[in-house]
Amino acid sequence: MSKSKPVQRGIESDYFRSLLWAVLSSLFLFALADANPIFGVLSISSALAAWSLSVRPRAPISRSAINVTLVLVIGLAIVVTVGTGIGVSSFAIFASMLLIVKLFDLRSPRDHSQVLILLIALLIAAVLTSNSMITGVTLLIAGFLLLRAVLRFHIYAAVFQSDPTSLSTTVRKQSLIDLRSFQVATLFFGALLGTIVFLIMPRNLGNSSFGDWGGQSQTVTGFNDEVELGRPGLISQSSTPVLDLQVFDRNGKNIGQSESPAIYLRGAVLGSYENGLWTYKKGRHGSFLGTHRLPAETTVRPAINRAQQPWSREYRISLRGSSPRESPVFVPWLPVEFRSSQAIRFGYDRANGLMFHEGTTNLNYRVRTINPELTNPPYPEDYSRGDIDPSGITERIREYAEVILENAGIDPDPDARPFQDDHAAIRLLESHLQNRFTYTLNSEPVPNGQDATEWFLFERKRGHCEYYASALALLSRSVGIDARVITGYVASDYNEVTGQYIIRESNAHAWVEAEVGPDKWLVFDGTPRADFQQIHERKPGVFHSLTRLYETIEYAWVKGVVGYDSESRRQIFGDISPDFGLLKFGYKLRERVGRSRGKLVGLAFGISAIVFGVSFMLGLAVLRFRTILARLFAPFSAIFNVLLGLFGVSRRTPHERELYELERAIAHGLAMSELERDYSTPLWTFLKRSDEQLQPRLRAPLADAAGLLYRLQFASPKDAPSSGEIAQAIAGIHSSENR
Amino acid sequence: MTSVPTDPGASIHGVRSPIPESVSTARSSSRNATLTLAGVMYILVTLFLAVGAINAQNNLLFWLFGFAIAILITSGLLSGNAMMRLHVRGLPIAVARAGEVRTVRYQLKSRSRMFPLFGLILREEIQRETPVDITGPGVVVHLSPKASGTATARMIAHKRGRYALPAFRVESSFPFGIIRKWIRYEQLRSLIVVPHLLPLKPIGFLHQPGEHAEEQFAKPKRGPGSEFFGLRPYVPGDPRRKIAWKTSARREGLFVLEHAKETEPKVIVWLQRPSDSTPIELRERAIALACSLVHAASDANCAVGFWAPWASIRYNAAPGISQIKKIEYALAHLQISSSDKADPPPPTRSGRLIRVSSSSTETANPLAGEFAADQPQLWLRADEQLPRSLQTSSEASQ
Repeated sequence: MSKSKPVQRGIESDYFRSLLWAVLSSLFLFALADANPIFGVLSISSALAAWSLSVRPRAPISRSAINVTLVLVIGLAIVVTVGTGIGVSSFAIFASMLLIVKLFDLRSPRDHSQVLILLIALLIAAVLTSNSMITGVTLLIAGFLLLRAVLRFHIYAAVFQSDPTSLSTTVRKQSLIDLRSFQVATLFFGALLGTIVFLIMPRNLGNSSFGDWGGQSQTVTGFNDEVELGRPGLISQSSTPVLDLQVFDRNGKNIGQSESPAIYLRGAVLGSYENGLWTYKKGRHGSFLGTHRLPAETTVRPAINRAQQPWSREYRISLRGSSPRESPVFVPWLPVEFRSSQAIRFGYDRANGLMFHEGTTNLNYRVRTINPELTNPPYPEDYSRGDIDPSGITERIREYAEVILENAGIDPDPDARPFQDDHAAIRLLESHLQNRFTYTLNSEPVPNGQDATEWFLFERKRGHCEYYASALALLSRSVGIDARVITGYVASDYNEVTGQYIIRESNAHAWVEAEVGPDKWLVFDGTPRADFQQIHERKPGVFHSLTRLYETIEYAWVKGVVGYDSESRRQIFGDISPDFGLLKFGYKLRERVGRSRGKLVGLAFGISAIVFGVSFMLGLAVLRFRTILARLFAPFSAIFNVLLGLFGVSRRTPHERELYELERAIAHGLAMSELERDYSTPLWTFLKRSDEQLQPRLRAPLADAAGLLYRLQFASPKDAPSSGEIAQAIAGIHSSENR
Repeated sequence: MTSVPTDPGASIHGVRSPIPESVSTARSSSRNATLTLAGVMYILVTLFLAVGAINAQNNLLFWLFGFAIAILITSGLLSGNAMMRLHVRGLPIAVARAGEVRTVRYQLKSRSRMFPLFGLILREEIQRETPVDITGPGVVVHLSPKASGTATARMIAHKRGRYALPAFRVESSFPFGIIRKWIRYEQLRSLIVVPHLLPLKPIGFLHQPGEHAEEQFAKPKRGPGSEFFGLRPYVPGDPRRKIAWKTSARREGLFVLEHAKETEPKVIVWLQRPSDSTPIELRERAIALACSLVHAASDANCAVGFWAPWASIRYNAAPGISQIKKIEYALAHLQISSSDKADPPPPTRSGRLIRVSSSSTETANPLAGEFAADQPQLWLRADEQLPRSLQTSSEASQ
């Protein structure tokens, strides 16, 4: 078997090869992070086309064509930005388009450096888009390839600068070995320092003080905080995980099970209905007062546990990538304790039992709940059912509900019906919907002029969870039982290995909470159970097993990397973990900003930011146009020097001062002989030529001074004359004058 | 950091030149590191990453921020460390010709035990007024730890003269272009630039018999050479290898071979003193023309001499490359400012005379050995142009 000889590549082709890999991996990374396969296919194929048409044959297209294309790309970016707003995704797509245009225009190292900068921007955009494990791993690979390209680029640029014709020189084997070692060492060092920073950087600083910057743009989807029937809302087939959930009992035992009933995680409470649209309604007690700062590891006890029942379940939830703006905290009903491991802005709607958070994209929190079924608050003597919002309740719906109840022997009249029968009544309505209606994900537009719920109940008799929830809520309201539509997620997919439920976008769901006693709200779900299970529970199979394996690994990533927080940090480093005083400083700053003085601090920050920005731009302009500026300011500088001279201040360096003094002494000596120095003639020649005109007593001192002047100008520092010699020569000229 | 033309006439007049002939050893005088524009941008991006990570508690951004810091440290410290242990020496620069690219070589030795060096650029420090341009700095793609290497830079001098190259820099922005590190090595070297070689029309004059033909093409004389001169009887002491054995066998007694002394036609190039009113470009052009004529005469197998008594230069005609070098060296240093010294013509017996003047009111006759710098149409090859530095302002504007 013959041993194949490795292909010897030139400096240029070696660098070009590494650049191609860096371009392809960066584009792939962003497509992966943005979950945008169309972008991936289009950008990678365009990059390959640019490579084979322009880069490889070294045939950049004309500048005018490039400029026209750039104008088009910028125009397109402006149109997209106006349409969709500035976002990481649109920015990255714009950067990718620029990158591909630039690939057609690779002429000099400057063009190459622009390409590399765009690649760095794509890498950062990918991190800002997704924190998934696959993004992290691909980031590492793309980062390595980019590092490789950057290192080779600097060698390429140096050779290009010296002699572009020698770019095809073969890279020596030893050079490649050393370069690879350097590359691996840099990557290792970078990864090590990155991990150290990742581990020790104090968490809970900042918290969206600078808006959304740094947060992931890809946030929880599937869930919707309003329901518009007839439009696709919660219907998502995506299996992208959005939440991880673990359930523990009071003894700290993980009690999650594959066969256990689904866990409903509330996200939004929708109490207002109008023309098929369910929206958020503030509770009867007024309640939602906005968000306030909640330090990390602070327990909040919502005041809805009237029964003072001890908690029975603890849910540990990791929210993977929510919006840093006000977002719901998904909790099971009925929460009695909330505790976040990160400092967040926290808001609470007491009446609806809703929680909100702001300030972080990956929230890890713990919720303790009681079983609402077991709460039996006593009925007050003057208890009456509350006022029910009549919107959406038509006579037809009321009659329909009444018939269902009457057939089961339950009085549909709320005034005549005992309070205790409310639970049974709504269960009856729930099971009616589950058994008599068909579940479908196929969406169909609601006929014009018809109420969506009525259309579902009386005509179509098919629909998805939103229809069922809306129908159940209106039916129960029509018979005097207050009900509200809840949207959120259901947890039913349990991973035995990791002991956690994975909640995906496709687990978004809508259901109902109805008040069956004084402040006793229970969960009801009209969606047929069989269809519910089909939608929300995973089917067995090879693909499922592989997916489960991947998710098991990803769970470690989510817990260890994405979910690493102050609590994890405390567990590793203990309570005396180093934070360099940053945490204290952060809290103090936050406190000050919170007080009235905060306005001043904010103003100072604002002014500093403006000053910094302006100085930075000015600095860039000065760097860019320094030659022109130096020329412009040269006369002013000269005038300034003269003015300084008038005041006896000199801006010369000691070397310049010695030169100046010698020149002045020589000019003085020549003036004594009534000669004027001809600066077009070298001094030696001038002195030699003027030998006869020079006063004899001045010849030797002037020759000495001229010799010193030459030495001062041209000799190496060790041969340069000393200050004493110079002073002596100058004195020699002056003493000759006095003789 | 000075590099100015020194007194061109200094060595001719016997005054010691301040620029040493020999090359001193290089020593690093200063080292520095400056942040590049890309580096400023990089630091800002790193800061933004930090702010983003803290603001959003994005753990991957924390990691990326750490990585960015590592890149910064690598860029500044690790690669700079290897440069600190670099020893560089500029090799002596050979005589350069104006208008032609000359290479400058450097020797490098890395004393670093661990870190290799990549993408080093070596650049001479040349002042703006010095008429020398670096056409390609020296580059070292890679230097392994404890290894040696060489680099070659290219420069072009536009004017003849003698210049000081006091120092050079070794710089590198490897690995990431964030920080440009450079070390300045002081090593005073002189660069002697001989005049341009102008593309001349064929000079028929050199091949025509002139007025001193009888002197130039006289009878051959006995002496060292390759041509046969004659035979003479052997006298004791003659080297044996000179004995003509065949002739000695035919005749009685020993005979030895004698060679004829080689006599090339002699040519003296007389550079006449320029008048004060002659533009500097024409004076320089006259020097370049004289130099080119010296070469042309040498190429035509003439023994060449050079005559410029007003600049104290009197070289009798002599053959060989060393004579040409001597004349070129003198021309490199020739002072072109006005001189009050006399400008007598060379003695008539010294050889055929080529007279070169800076300007002439009459039309010069190259066939008669008369050349005027201001009449390039008479001697410059038709398809060629004068170098820019030898063009007067009116010629350059045309």
